[in-house]
This record gives sequence, C-alpha cells and structure tokens, in this order.
Amino acid sequence: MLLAVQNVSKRYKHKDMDFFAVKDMNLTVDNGEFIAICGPSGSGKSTLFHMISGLLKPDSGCINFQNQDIANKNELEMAQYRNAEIGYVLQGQSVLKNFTVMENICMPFYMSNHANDIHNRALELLKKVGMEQYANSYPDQLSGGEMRRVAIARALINNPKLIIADEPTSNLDKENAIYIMEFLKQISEAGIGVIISSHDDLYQDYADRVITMNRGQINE
Amino acid sequence: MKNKLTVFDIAWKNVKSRAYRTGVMTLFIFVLAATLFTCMVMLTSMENGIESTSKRLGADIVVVPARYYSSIENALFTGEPCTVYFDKSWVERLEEVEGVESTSSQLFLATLGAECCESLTQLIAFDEADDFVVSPWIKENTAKSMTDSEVVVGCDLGLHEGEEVTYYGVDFTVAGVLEQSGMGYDHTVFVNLDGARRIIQSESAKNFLTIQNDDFISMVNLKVKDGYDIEAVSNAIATKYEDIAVYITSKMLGNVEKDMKGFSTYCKILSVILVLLSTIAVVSIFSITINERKREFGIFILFGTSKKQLIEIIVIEAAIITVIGTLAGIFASGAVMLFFQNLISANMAIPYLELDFVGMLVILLKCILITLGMGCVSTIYSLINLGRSNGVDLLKEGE
Repeated sequence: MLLAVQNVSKRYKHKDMDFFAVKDMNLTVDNGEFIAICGPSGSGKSTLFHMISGLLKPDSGCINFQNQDIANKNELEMAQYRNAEIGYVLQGQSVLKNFTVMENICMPFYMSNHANDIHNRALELLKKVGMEQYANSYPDQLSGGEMRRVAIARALINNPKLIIADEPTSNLDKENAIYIMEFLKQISEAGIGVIISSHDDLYQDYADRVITMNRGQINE
Repeated sequence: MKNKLTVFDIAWKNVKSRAYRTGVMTLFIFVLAATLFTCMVMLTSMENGIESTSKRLGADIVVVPARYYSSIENALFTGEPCTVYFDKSWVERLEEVEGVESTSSQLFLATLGAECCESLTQLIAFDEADDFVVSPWIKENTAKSMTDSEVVVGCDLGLHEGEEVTYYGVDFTVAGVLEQSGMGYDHTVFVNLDGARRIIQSESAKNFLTIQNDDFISMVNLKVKDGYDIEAVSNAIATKYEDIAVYITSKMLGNVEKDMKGFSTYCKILSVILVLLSTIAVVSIFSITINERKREFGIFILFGTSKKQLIEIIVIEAAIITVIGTLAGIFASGAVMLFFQNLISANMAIPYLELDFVGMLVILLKCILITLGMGCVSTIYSLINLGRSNGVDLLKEGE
C-alpha cells in the first residue's frame, strides 16, 4: 500500500466556533490507483490533500506513506518528502511567472540535492504534455490549459510515487479538461498513485474509485 | 540552459524580473551609499588635511601685520593669494623676546593675474639659511638646494619639473613639485630670497608690487625654547609690541577644526536621517512585495523547497539589490568627487588632503557594510512573517 489515511481529523476555529474540516477520515491508495474525491466546496478535500502532502498536521489519526507515519518528520524531512515522493498540482494557476516553462518544470529538481542532468527528462515530460515547443516560453505566453499541463509536468519531474491534483480541470474548456484527465490516467497506469478532487463529472470515466466527501467526512 | 539553477540564479532572475521594485529599491540604496561615501571621504580628507597642515606649519607662533590674520590664514590653508608686508626689522625685535629660540621669515608675493604673470598665484619667498618651516619639506621632496632662478611648486599648480615659468617677467625653472599637503601650499610657488630679490627688482614688479626692495616680510615664524610656555611667550610679544598680530599655530588649527566639526555634525545628521529614511522605505517596499509573493512562496514550499532555501532566495535578492545600489552610488559619488575635487577643496576653505587607495578602500568597505546591513534589516520583517506562516497560509493569503 502506498498511502493509508487512518482516522484523521482536522479542526479549525472560526469566529469562536469550532468545526471539523476533516473528521475521522480513512482512505487508502495503492500504487497505480486513480482515486477521485468529489464533494462541494468546503467539504474538506483540500485540507485532506494538505495533510497528505505534509503541509498541515492532523489533530488526530495518522497518515502512513509507504508504511511510515509522516507526522514524525521534522520540517526539513517534510520538505524532502514533498520534493521526492509527492507531485502536487495546485488548484488554479501555479506556474512561476519569472521562469521559463523549462525552468518551471525543473524547479522541484533544482530544490533537491540531486546534481544529475535533468534537461532530457524535462524535455521528455514536455513532449508528453505536448508542450515541447514552449520550453523557453514564459508563462504569460501560455493559455490556462497549457499552464495546467506545465504544472502537471512539474509535479512529475522528481518521479514521485503519488500525484495529488486539486481541481486539475477547473476553469478549463472540455477539450483541455479531457486532455488533462487522460494524461493523469496514463500516469496512474504507469504505476503512480493519483488522487484528484473534482467538481465536474469527467472523473467518472477515468477514476478507479470515487469517494464523495461532505462536511469533512466520507459520504457512505 | 544551465544544468541546474542555483538559489543565487533563482534570486537573480527574481530581481531582474521585478524591474520596478528593483529600480526603486536600488535608487534608495544608491542615494544612501553616495551620501555616506561622499561624507566619509570628505570628512576623512579634511581630518588628514588638518593633520598634514599641523605637521607642515612647523612653528609654535606666527606673527603677522595687525589686521591681516585672515589673509594669511587663507593663504596658508586654502592657497588664496595675499600680499601683506611689514618691516624686516621685526625679526630682530622678536628674537629679543625671552623664550624665543629661533625665527624664520616668509615674504608673500601674490601675482596679480595681470600681463606680468602667467596666472594668479601665491609666491612665498623664504631664507634657506634660517628657515625651519618650508625648507625641511622641500629638501625632503627635492633633495637639493634651490638657485635664484629656480622655484619649487605645489602639486595642484599643474607644473612639472624642468618646466619654465614666468613671474613678474622673470623666468624660473621648476626644480621640483612638492607632494600633496592638503593646505594652501599645494597652490603655492616657493622661491628663495635671491629669487624673490630678482622679482622685486624687475621692471614688471615695480608697476605691481608696493615694495621695491627685500627689506619687507609678510610673516615671522617663531620657535619657542624648551621649558617656556608657548602661550606666555605669545602674550609677552603681544604685550610688548603693537601693530602686529600674534597667533599660536595650534590655535589657528583649532579654528579650522571648529569649522570642520560643524561640517562633520551636519554630515553625520544627514547620514543618520538618510539611513533611517532609506531603511523605512526599503523595508516597506520589500515587505509589500513579499506579501504580494505569498502564493509564489507557497508554491515553492509545495514542491519541497525548505524554509532555509526560501530565506536564502529572499536574502540573496536583497543582497543583490543592495550591492548594485551601493556600488553604483559609490562609483557615482567617486566620479563626481574626482571630477570636482579642486572645486570642492577650494570651496571647503578647510585643508583637504585626498585619500590614498587604502583609505578609499576602507571607506568603501564601511559603506558596503552599512548598506548591506540595511539590506539585511529590510528582509527581517518579511522573514519573520514567512517563518510564522505555513505553506497553506501562504497559498491562501496569496490567492
């Protein structure tokens, strides 16, 4: 098993009110599995993703990644975990404006301790997402769909074991949305675990498993 | 494309891409560095000038004709030509005063900028036999005695050894150029008594000089015997003789030092105000831009950038801007001072000795340290904010 989320809860305070963003959540992800999590805004999808990626610590429960509880990691180890094991595709635009497409894709590698030449792998990923002609372009020359493809290629650069994509098709036209979902499916078929959150119905054609969340809990 | 972008490369790209922020911050640092450098160089140059003047004056007491002190002071400290005379017999009278060990007199012959002379210049004649003020310095520089057709010139006159010059229609050869003193001597031509006599007896001088022979002098330098109080000897002279003004050389410099203190205070206040204003401005600009970049930092954290790496990027960005602003400011300030050095020196009315390379380097390093310190301070607020936030806060606040 790649990932096991066990009885995880996260509580927030807002205007003197306590509420659970995620409550007693249980989830497992295997290598190569494609899981779609759907649910309305505020149902806790993003909070769950933030906890899996180590950006947030759960108040209770544990998250095991390859049988290791990530809660035991310190800040630096958590950064290394995100860098090496997780590829995260953020909701909305997340490419860095000051850097070329190529530099954007390579950025997680630059932040790692590795020194090998990443150029060929980055080019290969660019080809896979159909963006090889934009290697030296800056983000302001790209469309929304193209930027999303760059973000996915960047998430893959360090050969992660798990891809987390938060609303990867939001604000995209149908053609681009299908392209992204098909690419994510290819990734999962290559053995990488994929979890996405989504509002639209496209995921039904691609996901191995669909989980619906509401008010921080899985809807039975 | 480079195999791997380093943290420095990333910071450099960020600095280049945010042209407006970089430009405004660089401008503040530029103004600060230029002001600091100018103030430091000028203050140090003046301090060196006063120290050098104190060494060059040589005498304990100077005696000049009454009411002409300021002319003599200007001639000594700033090189402003003056023509002041009193009778040579004063030398003997002053030697009679108890406590006076030795005397040496100088005759000031200002050229008038008329057709007799090449330009408006201060000539000082001295007697090599008894002079203890100028001669040691001249011998130190030229290592020889002068003939009556030779002059030794100050370094700022633009003359060279072996060059022919004419004063009051009399031709002289430049026997040597003196090293910089920072005082009026740098604009002065030195001639021995025989040379002065040639000038006084020339046809041209008769039309311009009020003296017709060498029985006149302009200033008497006195050395006080060991064991005698300089002030007491000065008072004794002043009491004994009227029509002359007596000054203790250390007090003459005291006035100059007083002027310099005023300028120094002004410079220090200006520097402190500028450092404070620039720091506030740079801190504000930096904080605003860092707030605008929260999502960017959140993205960096999301793909595994450590906070240490993020801090490095921010500090390097500040350092790049600071170093560029500082070097540009120092270069501009240095160029202006180099271009206008004679004007500055003349207008300051204070002995001004240009700094050597090491002196300049020390000041340059001080400026870089101060501005770099300011650049680092400007990042502290942003770094504290960043340290307190987690990746999720940054991503949400940056939306």
